[in-house]
Formats: sequence, structure tokens, C-alpha cells
Amino acid sequence: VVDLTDGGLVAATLAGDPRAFEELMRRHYAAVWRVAFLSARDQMAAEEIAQDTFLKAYGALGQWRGDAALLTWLCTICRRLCIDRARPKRPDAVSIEEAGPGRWPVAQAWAEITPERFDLRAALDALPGEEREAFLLVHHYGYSSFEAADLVGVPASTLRSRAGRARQRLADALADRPTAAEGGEPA
Amino acid sequence: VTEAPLPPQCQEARRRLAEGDADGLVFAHVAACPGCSAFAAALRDLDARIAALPLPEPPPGAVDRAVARFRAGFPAAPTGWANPAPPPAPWPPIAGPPMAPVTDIGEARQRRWRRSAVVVTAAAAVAALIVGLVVGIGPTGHGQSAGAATLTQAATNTGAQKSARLALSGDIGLSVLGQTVRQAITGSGAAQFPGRGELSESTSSLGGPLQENIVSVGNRTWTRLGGGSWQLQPSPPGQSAIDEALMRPQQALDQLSRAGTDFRNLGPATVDGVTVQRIQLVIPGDDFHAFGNYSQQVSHWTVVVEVGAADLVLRRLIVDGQGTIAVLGSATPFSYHLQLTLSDFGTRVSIQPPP
Repeated sequence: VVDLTDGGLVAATLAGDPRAFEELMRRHYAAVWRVAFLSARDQMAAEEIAQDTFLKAYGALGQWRGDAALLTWLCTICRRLCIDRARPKRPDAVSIEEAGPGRWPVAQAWAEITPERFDLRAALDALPGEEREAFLLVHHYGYSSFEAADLVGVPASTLRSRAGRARQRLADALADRPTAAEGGEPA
Repeated sequence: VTEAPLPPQCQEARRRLAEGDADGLVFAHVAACPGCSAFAAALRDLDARIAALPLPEPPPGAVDRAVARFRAGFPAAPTGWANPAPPPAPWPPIAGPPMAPVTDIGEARQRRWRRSAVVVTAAAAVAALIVGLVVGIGPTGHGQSAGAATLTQAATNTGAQKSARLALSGDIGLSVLGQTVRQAITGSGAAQFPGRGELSESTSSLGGPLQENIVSVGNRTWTRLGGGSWQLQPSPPGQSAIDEALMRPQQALDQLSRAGTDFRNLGPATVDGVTVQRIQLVIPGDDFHAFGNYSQQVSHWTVVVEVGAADLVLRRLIVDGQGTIAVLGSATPFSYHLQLTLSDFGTRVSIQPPP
């Protein structure tokens, strides 16, 4: 089973071999968990979401048609679960979609970021949600902008734009040269 | 943090730099603008910091817990179980783990490839310049995408072929004093996987045709210009010749799989009667240098890798890029195109160090 491709493992699962799906889980768990962690920002919450992702994927495996990589499909499910989970349990929080100028406390968080005290993790946390997501998917997790765009459900140009704005904010913070208010922040 | 807005050209330059979409005009502005130059340096600093940031990892035992929950909670067959195998994924099937070991990234970061080539600067009394053409690849990706995984598998499959014939073609264009001079490069050779290769390149310049022979064995590379004596090329730590990379396609694919970003599946094509899968990727200009002896600015390099659709063996590698290079004290626009074709796999090859 270990030697099968994703497509082969899906076929084997659909043919009734649960070991094939377990292999898929082992193969893609870390990547799915990372996508969950991107949103949940908590290891245990990310673990729960990752588990839910695979259970949901198992139930819907027949719907995967191979027009996207299986991992992208899994991550898309994971991301939807992240959004659903954020709404009822954390009414004070905003989802990745909802996060944006005026809703995400970026300005406040960004005020803490100075070149003298530049902390990359803090700076990343201070980014607007969708920019942070796009930036980390592409520049940290290593997805292509096309894969990340599929995952997020936006055009690749939009995703590149978001990642670029995040990169610009971070570079501005490093260079101590405030950006020219693209997206209105930091302000 | 409220300050006066940047001038529009600075805003545009920084936006395009940040999005990896800069061209020669942007780089010309950056070269002349201290603020944007500092911004570009900050981007490089940022990239280095991100590259050093470890990927978040699931807690120990997390995958086992997930599997256990699956076993306990989902005994039923999934819906659609009667569905036959799904249609093939857009990427060629790949065996093996989808994520590259993070520890490999550091090695990729240190990798530098260099090759020699001949370019011409046109002016009344300007002779041909032999330019060290250096290509270095640094990492931009951390996980491994489907496209990168295809390249990794192709590296293994290509190396298993033991040997191949190589054909090189391409050109370098330089825009000097308003004139664009294109310098065609052709070459042929062979590779003996994994560590031996030879290439014979020729190009024509204002001074007449130039021939260069290159032999690479292990970590050593020798070059010979115009039938002269062989010279052992110095190999600075962490650097090796791009000729070496071209002659060792297995390693080239490995490096590209780690350094590439924006992988795209361009669909099928035919190379020498073989159906290939075309994979495009992008190497940032910051990390993919062309002219080692000259200061240069390139937004990015585009690489197309064509691997056999059936066997995932490398058939053709195409590198394109454009930017500016400091020649004779001025920023000179250049364009670069190189194509390497592999054929006659398994042919008898014996590549030895030159006498």
C-alpha cells in the first residue's frame, strides 16, 4: 500500500481497503495539520481539525475526481473546517475571510513591531488574516501560488497580491520604512 | 505609524518587488533609489529569516491518534465506494512521501552553479567578453508541492538511466548602446550519471567563433577555451559549475525541486517523439544568478522541465530570464535562454578527467 500513488490509494480505499486510507492519512497528515495550525494557532485545536478533516474526507472520498492534487483537496476541506470552527466557538474572533482592514486588530499589534524589536513570529501574527495565510502558505509552507490559490479559493493573482502585501509589510517593518498604506495598514 | 506617502514609482516598485513581479524598469528604479534599495535589502533579509523559521510540526503521536480515531469511528465504507478508480490527477503519479525533508533545505541554500559562456558587448572597439555565467539556486519552498515532488521523482528516474547524450542550445541577448546583440550558444556532450559529464560549447562573437570544452568528474570541473590547455576550475565552498549541473541532470532536478516556486503543470507536449509532461517553475532572481563576475539584477528565472509522461525521465530543461547586468560600469539589459535536451539514454559513455 505504501508504494501506491494518491490516486491508487483512493481507489483502494473506495474498493474497501481501509489500510489504504490510513496510508493517505500518514502521508498527508503533517501538511493538513499545518493548514489547520495556520488558522487555529493552537496545536491541539489543529490536531482536532486535522482529524475531522480526514474523517470528512473519508466520507466524501468518492467526490474527489482528481482534478486537483489530493493534498490540495484535503487542505481545502481542512480550511473550511477551520472557518466553521472559528465562528461558533470564538464569536470574538474573525475568520480568515472576515479578517481585513478595520476588523483585524492589525494596527494595534503592528505598533508593537519595531526594527529594534523585530520578532518575526510577532510580525507574522500581526498581519491581516488573509495576507498572513497567503504569505505563509507560499513563502513558508512552500505551496505554489496556484496551489495556495486553489486551497484558499481565490484567483492566483489575488493570492499573489495578498502574499505580496504581507511581504511588503514585513519588509517595511524590517527596513523601518512604513509602507504607503496599501490596504490602509499599518496606519 | 503614519508618514508621508511614498512617491508612486516607489510604491509600484516595492509592490512589484514584494510580489516577485519586478522587471528591468523596476530594478533600474531600485538601483537609483536609496529607499527602495533598502527595501529590497529588507526583502532579502526577510526571506532569509523565513527560510530559517522551522516549519510547525504536529505534536508527537498526532498522526497515530488520528489513525486510531479513524479506526474507531469510521468502520463503514465511504460513499462512492463502488466508484472505479478516479481519473488521473493532473500531476504524474509519484511514489514516495509528499514532503521533502526540511533538513535538505540548508544544503539547497548553499548550492551555487556556475558555467562559462560567452557574451558580447557591442561597441566600436569592444571585444567579446568572456563572462562567468553563474547560476545559483537558493530555497524558496519548504514543503514539497506536487510539481516539486514530480521533479524529485524525475531526478531518481533520470539517474537510473546511467547515461545520456546532451544537446545544448540557447542565446544571450545584451542591449548595449541601444543595440541588442544576441549571442547564440550551441553545444553537445554526454552525462554519465551521477557524477560525470562533458560538454562542448560553441558560440560566435564579434571576434569570431569561440569553442569551449568542459569536463566534470565528481566535484572537479575542467574547461578549455579554443583548443588551449585545460584549466581546473576553482570550486569555492558551496559552489559548483552550472555546466556540472547541466551535465548531472539528476542533481539539477533535485535542486530545482527544492528551490522552485510557483510550480505549474503546462500539460503534455512531444520531445523527440516522446510525450512529456511540462512543468514550469520560478526561481527568484535574488537566488538565481547568471553572470557571476558581474553585478546583476533579475526579478526571476523561469524554468520549464519536461519529463517523460510515462517514465518521468528528464527529456528537456529550459531556462529563461531577463534583467540587467553591470557591464562596463552601466546597467545593461540582458535576456537569457538556454535549453538542454537529453537523448540516447543508456548509451555507452566513458568520461574521464582530461590529461
